[in-house]
Amino acid sequence: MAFQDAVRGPGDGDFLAQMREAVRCPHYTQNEYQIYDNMDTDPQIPFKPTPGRPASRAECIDWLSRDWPGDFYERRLRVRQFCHQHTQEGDEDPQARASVLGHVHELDALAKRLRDAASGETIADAKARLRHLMYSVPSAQRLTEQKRELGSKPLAYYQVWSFYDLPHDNPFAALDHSRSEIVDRLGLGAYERDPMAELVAWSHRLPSGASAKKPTAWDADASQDSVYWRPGGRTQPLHKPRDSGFPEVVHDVVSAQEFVTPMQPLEV
Amino acid sequence: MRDLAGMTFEQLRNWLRDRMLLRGLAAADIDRRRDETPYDAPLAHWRKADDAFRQNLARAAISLLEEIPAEGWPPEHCHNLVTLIEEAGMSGAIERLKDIVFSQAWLRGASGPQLHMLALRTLLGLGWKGDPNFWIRQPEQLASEYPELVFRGLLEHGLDIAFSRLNDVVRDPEAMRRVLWLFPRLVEIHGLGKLRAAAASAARRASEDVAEEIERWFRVSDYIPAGMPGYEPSEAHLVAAGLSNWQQAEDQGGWQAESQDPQRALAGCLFGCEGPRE
Repeated sequence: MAFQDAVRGPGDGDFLAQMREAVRCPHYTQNEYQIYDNMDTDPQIPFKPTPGRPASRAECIDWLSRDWPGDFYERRLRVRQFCHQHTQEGDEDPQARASVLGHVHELDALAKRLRDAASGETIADAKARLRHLMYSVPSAQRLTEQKRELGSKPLAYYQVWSFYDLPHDNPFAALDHSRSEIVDRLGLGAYERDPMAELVAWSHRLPSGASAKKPTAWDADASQDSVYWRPGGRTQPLHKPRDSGFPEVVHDVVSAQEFVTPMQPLEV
Repeated sequence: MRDLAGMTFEQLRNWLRDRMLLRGLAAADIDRRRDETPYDAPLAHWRKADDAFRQNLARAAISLLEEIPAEGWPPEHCHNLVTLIEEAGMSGAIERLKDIVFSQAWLRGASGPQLHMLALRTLLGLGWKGDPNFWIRQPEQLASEYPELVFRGLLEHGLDIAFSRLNDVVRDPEAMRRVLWLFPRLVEIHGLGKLRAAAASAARRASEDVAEEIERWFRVSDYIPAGMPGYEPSEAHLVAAGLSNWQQAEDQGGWQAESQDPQRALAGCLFGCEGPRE
């Protein structure tokens, strides 16, 4: 059941129209209301509160309408706050736990993660260090050196999005190593819009005890780039057919200790 | 991104505080999928903004430094604020940070050494160099936990000066590993040959296990980076030649058999097997 079915009176109807408008993305000409539609149609999201299920649409309406800002921009932020409070609530994906997962990350973000509050280096030092680990270290030693050098430092601030490719042990096996191919097949529209972002990729396994969840519309958030996501548990290629996407999951942050193949730059 | 330029000073200061502390609506538009940091967006705004906004943001950021010990900001949140100050080059913070560092005001308390390191790191990032002895005289805890920062301070006075004091900074292999974090960037700045020579000189005076860490770094560095594809091929060949000679020497019983002095032999390797110069 969609948001509309939760309407209790005319006031709620107005509220939904405002919420839909608050998460509108005019730059996405395919569907300016894609984010709202994702939240409205995601089959993992129940209509009313259900134990063990992701936060429901009714809870979303209740929470937002309790403190709905007058300011248009703040309304979007409130929706995003709700999303951030309800990450990793989707179905467990046991297949992902058994698989080698692939991940793509921005080099700049990774450098900023390395140069954290416990590091005396500069961001430029950390970036050069990452390039050294990808280019200077001979390929046969790269995995060992990356594990040694990066240690157990978490490689992201927030939850990680990964994919797998069932017939293959290597999630990148069916992809060439080009940036454009990977950005397309994984539906990383943010990086298509930002061609200067330097991307790296690696594959990893989840540490024992960690879980991987099918992402929901709450995981997908309500940022400008959330329009590229679709419900259903598969990546949404930007240009290639829908069935050329891969199963995708969200999980807690990993470290280099979980690497199966070393971090590598995506070829431009 | 919110319209920061339209805010009053107080609004901007409150927004910045919440953003750095990851609180409320101010932190809600951080792009988590791209692993954005709390300081990325205000920094991007700063880079595009006019002088009036820059002055306002710098004033707000510098005034928040006062709250760090008083309000008990955790180091992770302090890191957000001081990284914004550093990356934006808010030089107006230098005097305040000098006061903090020289009075050791942030050093007291549970996270004191880390906060003190963050203040020093920012000062250095803003272009304040101190003098070599200032860095060597930093509290023992700082040198043992953040040797890379002390070494960065020394590097501001030249590659040779920094490496001549390496043994004052690095006392064990773990500390050396942290200093090695800086080597890839040093290669970008000084070139591999110059770094190799400076490191070789320091390795001769270092303890065996520290020298081994230095040697190991050059052994696994088959160079290229900076501009990437094919960067400085002659440098890469030089080091490859040096390392293969070293490997050859080792295979033949090498330095252990000849000199029983691994540090001298290592220095020879780093010099391209010309042998130590001292």
